[in-house]
Amino acid sequence: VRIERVSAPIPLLNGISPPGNSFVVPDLKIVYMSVTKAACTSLRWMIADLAGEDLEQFYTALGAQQTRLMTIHGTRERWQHTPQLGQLSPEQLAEISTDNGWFVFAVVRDPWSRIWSAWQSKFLVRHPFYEGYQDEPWYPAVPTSQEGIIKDFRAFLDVRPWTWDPQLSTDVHFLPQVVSVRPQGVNYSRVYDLADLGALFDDLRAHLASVGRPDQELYVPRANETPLPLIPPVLADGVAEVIEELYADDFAAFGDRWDRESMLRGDASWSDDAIAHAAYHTRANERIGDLSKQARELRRKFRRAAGLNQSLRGELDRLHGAAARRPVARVRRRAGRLRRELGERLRARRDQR
Amino acid sequence: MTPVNVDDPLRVLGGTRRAFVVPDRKILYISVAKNACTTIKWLVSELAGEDPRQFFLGAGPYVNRDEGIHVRSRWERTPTLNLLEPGLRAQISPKNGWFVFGVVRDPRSRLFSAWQNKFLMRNPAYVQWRDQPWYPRVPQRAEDIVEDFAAFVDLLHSHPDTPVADDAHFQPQVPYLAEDVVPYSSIYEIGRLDRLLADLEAHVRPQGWTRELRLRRSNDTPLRARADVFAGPVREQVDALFHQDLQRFGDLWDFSRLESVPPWSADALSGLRAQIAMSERITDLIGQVKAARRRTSTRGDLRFTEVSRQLDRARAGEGGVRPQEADPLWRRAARPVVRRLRSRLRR
Repeated sequence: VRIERVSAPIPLLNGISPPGNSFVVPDLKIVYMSVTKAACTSLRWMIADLAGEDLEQFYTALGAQQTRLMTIHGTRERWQHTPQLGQLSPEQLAEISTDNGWFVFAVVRDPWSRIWSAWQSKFLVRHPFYEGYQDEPWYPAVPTSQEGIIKDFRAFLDVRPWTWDPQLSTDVHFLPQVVSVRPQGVNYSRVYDLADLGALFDDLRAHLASVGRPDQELYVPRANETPLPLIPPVLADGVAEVIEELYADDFAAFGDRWDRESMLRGDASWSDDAIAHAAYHTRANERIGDLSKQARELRRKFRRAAGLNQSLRGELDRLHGAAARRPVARVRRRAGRLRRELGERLRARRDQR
Repeated sequence: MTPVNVDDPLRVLGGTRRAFVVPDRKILYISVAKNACTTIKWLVSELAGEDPRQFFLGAGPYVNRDEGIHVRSRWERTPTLNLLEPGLRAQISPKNGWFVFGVVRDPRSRLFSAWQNKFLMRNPAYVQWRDQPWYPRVPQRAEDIVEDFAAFVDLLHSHPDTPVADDAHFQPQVPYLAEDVVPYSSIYEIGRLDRLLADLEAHVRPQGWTRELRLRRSNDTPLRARADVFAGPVREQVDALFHQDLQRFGDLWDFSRLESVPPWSADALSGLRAQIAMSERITDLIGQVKAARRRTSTRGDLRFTEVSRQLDRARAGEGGVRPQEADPLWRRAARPVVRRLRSRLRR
């Protein structure tokens, strides 16, 4: 008995517009929905490599990225072979379905360590993009001690600026992950957990074998932008519960995979080396921010000069054109003068006769 | 060699950028690379009344803002010795109420610190050496660092004519201190900066200085020198390279202190790798700023000037000048060649 499927494949999207945080590798039938602070640097490099992007061209980004690895977060125009879902035609979009052999995935992370990582990489180590907040009372001091760092983190949670600040309230580093994952809006092969990336890589290898790339190696560089791991004292005194409340939507969608108790085990302190390292980040970030500003200002200057050049060239061409037409007019004028002179001479001769 | 003038001995140091004179406060600091010089220069700049904003860095090969203090041309109130009136220069001496000082350091830990800071950590000014066989790898284990440092010391020892040996960071301190001509009040060991601070404070208080003197924290090397870095022939080679320092100041240093330094932690090594990654990014951005400057000045400003000139001629052409006069064929043909030549010369 031969059974044929008669129903249409499950669509990728359940009535939502194509998300901008999508990375599509059409040749390999892969869609990755990027979630910030959930291994997204490593996974973007992996996708860029699979898609055949020129990896080194990402390094030329002028933004204030902390390391070469972080330049993968530069503008999306740098991706030449990895469109967003919104850049596909309706026909191409309709073809994407797990039923059609596509591998559609995202990775999420427990919100306790995620908000810790986000605060650390953006505020504690003073990412230049966030320097506009330096005068806020909740902006952390340059790290010198464990107590000071934890105190500053708690001040940030108390104020929770991403719930009211116009810029931070659209900043996906601090928003719940469901905003990026859209678990109801996208039909995934699977949403993986950061703690289980091994399963993702196994499934991805199996998928790559199914699309004819059984020997494809995965390039997964490790970005190290947060020198201080989450330790139990950070979550003590009710902080863990506050985070659960702030990220209730994430816990509702994926909470069964995370365990508060496991977060409260492990080392109870950071080494002096780790704290010194965090302090070093702040100093390097200042310099990176200064250089990035200079480079972008020069780019703006060059673009302005190029624009002005172009308009001047236009005027120059117009004047050259006008000048080029002048000899013809001169010849005509001379011919007219000659004609008139000849006519006058002829008339004079006739009169003499 | 310029003969020493007994009435003006400091004249022989000429315009050395390592001399920092604060005439109003009667201070002379002779700086020696890798001896807390960033911290001390900031301190001297404060005493001299320099504006910290003037040390803001452009695209120089520096990895943090503090290093702006090393750009000597930015100092406005702290002359070099050659800029002083000979009469004033001749007066510089503790006998005349001047505070003249320098700082020294155990050459073993100094050399390790310099190598770590410049090569291991990929300082932008030193990446030009990255293709050399002795250029250190990004360390995965402590042993990688020990081996690569040994290779560098061997290079300095076996090939004293290697260009990198000319770098002040890797040379003995004694010649730079020039004790034969500089009348020091004191030369401090780097571990006794507290004493330097106290002496300096005692010097400036009677001058009306009321603020507390403080040293900036400047921790530019995450790994402390340890005894095992100098295992095998390394210690002997370093001692031979820096025999002048050891002969003159050797009693200040006890190698056994390096034996009590604990092993580098996993956090220190991972921090070092992260710092290397940040230095690479800083180097890339410095390159981008320089390239953008070149592009803006050559392809932007120069073209703009060129087009403006042509435009002026063409406009004049409206009043009777023929277009050929505005832009003759030979000039148009020569323009790409000239542009290429200019570009090459600039490179």
